[in-house]
Amino acid sequence: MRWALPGALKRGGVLAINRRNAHYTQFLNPRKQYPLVDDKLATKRLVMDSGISVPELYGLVEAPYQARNLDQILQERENFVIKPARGSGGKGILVFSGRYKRAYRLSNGHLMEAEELRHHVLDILGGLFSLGGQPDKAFVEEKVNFDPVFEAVSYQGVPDVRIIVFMAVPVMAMVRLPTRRSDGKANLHKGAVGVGVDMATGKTLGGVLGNAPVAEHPDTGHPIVGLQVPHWEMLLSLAARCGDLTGMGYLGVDLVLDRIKGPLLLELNARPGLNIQIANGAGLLPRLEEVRRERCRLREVEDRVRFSMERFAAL
Amino acid sequence: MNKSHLYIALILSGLGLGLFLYKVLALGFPVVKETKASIWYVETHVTFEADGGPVKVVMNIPGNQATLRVSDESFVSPGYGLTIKEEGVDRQAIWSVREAYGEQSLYYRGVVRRLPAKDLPKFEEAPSVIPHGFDGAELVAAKAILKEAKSRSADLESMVQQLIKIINRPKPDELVAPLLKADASVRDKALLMVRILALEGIPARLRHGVKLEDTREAILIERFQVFEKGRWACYDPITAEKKSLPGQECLFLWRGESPQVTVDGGHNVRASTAVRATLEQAMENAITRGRTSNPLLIKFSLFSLPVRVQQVYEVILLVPVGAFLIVILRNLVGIRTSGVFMPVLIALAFRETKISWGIILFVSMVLLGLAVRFLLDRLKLLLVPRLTVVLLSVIGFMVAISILTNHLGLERGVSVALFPMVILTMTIERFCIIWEESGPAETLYRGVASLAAATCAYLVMSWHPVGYLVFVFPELLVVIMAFTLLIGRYSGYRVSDLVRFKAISEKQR
Ligand SMILES: Nc1ncnc2c1ncn2[C@@H]1O[C@H](COP(=O)(O)OP(=O)(O)O)[C@@H](O)[C@H]1O
Ligand SMILES: [Mg+2]
Repeated sequence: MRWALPGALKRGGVLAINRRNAHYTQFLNPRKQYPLVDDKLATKRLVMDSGISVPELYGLVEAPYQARNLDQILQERENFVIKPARGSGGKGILVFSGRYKRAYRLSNGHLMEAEELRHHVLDILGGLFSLGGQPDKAFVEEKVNFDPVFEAVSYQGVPDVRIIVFMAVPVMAMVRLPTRRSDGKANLHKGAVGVGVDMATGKTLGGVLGNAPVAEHPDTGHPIVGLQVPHWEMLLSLAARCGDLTGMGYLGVDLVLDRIKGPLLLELNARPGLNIQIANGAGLLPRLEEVRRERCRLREVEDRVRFSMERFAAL
Repeated sequence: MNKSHLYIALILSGLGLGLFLYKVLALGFPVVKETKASIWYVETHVTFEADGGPVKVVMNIPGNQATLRVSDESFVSPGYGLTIKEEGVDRQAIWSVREAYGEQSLYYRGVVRRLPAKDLPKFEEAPSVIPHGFDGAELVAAKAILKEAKSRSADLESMVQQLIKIINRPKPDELVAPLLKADASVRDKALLMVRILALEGIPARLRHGVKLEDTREAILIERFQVFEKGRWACYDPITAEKKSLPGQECLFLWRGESPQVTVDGGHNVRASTAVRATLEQAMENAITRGRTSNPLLIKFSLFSLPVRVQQVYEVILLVPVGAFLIVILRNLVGIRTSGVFMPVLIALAFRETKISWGIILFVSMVLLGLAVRFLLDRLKLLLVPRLTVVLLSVIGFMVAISILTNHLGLERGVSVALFPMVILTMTIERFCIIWEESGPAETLYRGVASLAAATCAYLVMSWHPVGYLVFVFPELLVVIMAFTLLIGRYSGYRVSDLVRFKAISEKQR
């Protein structure tokens, strides 16, 4: 059979999009908090105030005329990332890792002229990549030097860790590995591999590519199971704090591991994707229920992290 | 869990269905459209210049015939005295006035109703043969024509056809010339044929009628009828083609060889007949009933609007039906279309172009637009100007396709202009982004999904019973609204989830 019966999904505790929208994101995420999450610059400001580290912001382009100052922002930098402030799904993000004469080298090796880069920034400002086509801002930030654990299982890009946080309790996590197809970005929609993570230990479980399970990285061929995510407990407590800070009941937290700076917060998502369940081979619903039942006794961040490490361990 | 949507949905569907049932059960609105229109207004308008003296206008007016009844006649003729002369099925209105000057205008109006098949009385006048009235050289010529027609035929039917052909031979024809003037009208020829057939004792006649379909100026249909084997057989008096019996769609206005209108004391006579098909019988009865028992309901219904506005609403009311379908496809099935209501608007365009042409035109427009869009990419234009350039080229393509297909005689291609061009432009831009961001496979998926959704919407929206129901019973849209509310709170699995999350359900077992 190519499909499962609804009853089987229900027994598996699968959270699907209708239910996520109707019972979680719409109910638990207050409308007025959305701008904090949808705008990456606002998120940066919010979390920096409370001491969470983020990739350094090099510069900001808010209006077309400022695009001329791009050279000034970039100076002699070789490693940087250009992003739309209100983008999603990796859209409009360019990751650079070098220069060649007047041109910039993308992480996939292609060169981009300064002129082309400026045009891309103008497209971002025009709202080409933003939610609903609204005019947007572009910003330049530091390129993360990712931790060498994932060296062998990342193709020309930075892997990130996605943690679903429900009522400020981390409930499920995955590592996302860029592939040739995902073009240096770790977004599943673009073709990155998602790898489930054991909440208790931070060790990777199995992976998914699209909707199908995989055990090796499609480009490097390395096994993706059994890798240890460094600073695991710290990542969980960072995620839990983001839940507190935003007041969002159902949140996706994107973290990266910098070789030197340690865990950095990349962005927050008010409507995180659901494929994380496939990566973990487990449904979200039972975990969400468990948190809902016991949330009132979990006051401190440490309590919540311990709770999720104990309860959501892989079997 | 908040249940108010349930109560609202219940109330809405109760209201909608209640009104619907009231209209069907109490007022008798038909639930399915009667397949044929069965009431027509027929109007003949006569104009002429009066000479200043006494005027007498004789007009042949339609009478009852096999399946049609004429009733509610009215004659608009200020200052004229009117008498109606009836002889069997022949009816004439005779207007007369002592003296009249200048432009005169007279109207005849009647309502024609189709009788249900079971009420059909036997209604056919006895065939009669008029005296042929030939003598001398004329008689010889007439007999010669008859002989020639007979020699070329095997039975009555082919003989009549031969006779029509002989009479219509291009002039000069030595056989026909002695009997027919060079500029003889159809009526003159028909009269001649009637007289020739009278030599054999075969009853024949000419009838004039109009097609019962909406028209401002009906074209007169002439039928030459010959009584054979107990029935009147119809022939086209020019081509000799055999026609089926007086069709139901044809109202005979008069018979015989006289013109429709003759005017004594006037000149420049013009007569034109207009036909307007109207609501079906049952519907008309229901509206009449509604007017008396519930005047507000009818007064504030779509039927109170001018006919042209009604036609606009016939289309507009279909949009919610298409939108509802999209809701189902997206929220219950889980198909990702590009743009939420884009498929509905495309489906509306398909209604005009018809589906196969619609798909061809849509795909070619999108492909052309994408080509332009990719070329524009090199120019590095800003977003909004770029969209405008694509919009301009989309319109350019529309014009080009219309002109080209028009020259090729492909009528449907011309209707490309009905595609919503702004939507088309946004679709092109979106496809282009999807292409760049997610690759050709995803673009193809979105394109096919959108087209499939548009096709589904088209099939539902162009299905006649649907259009009829939402127009006659717009309250059904309230029921659709209720269902949309329910789907809006549906938190179960979509069909696509069943495929997507299959792996998890397996592991669990
Ligand atoms: N500063 C950075 N350095 C390196 N890679 C980055 C950086 N920012 C983003 N990326 C890459 O782009 C992907 C998407 O970035 P993210 O900020 O999560 O935006 P989005 O909202 O589009 O998902 C990340 O998973 C990562 O692979
Ligand atoms: Mg992200």
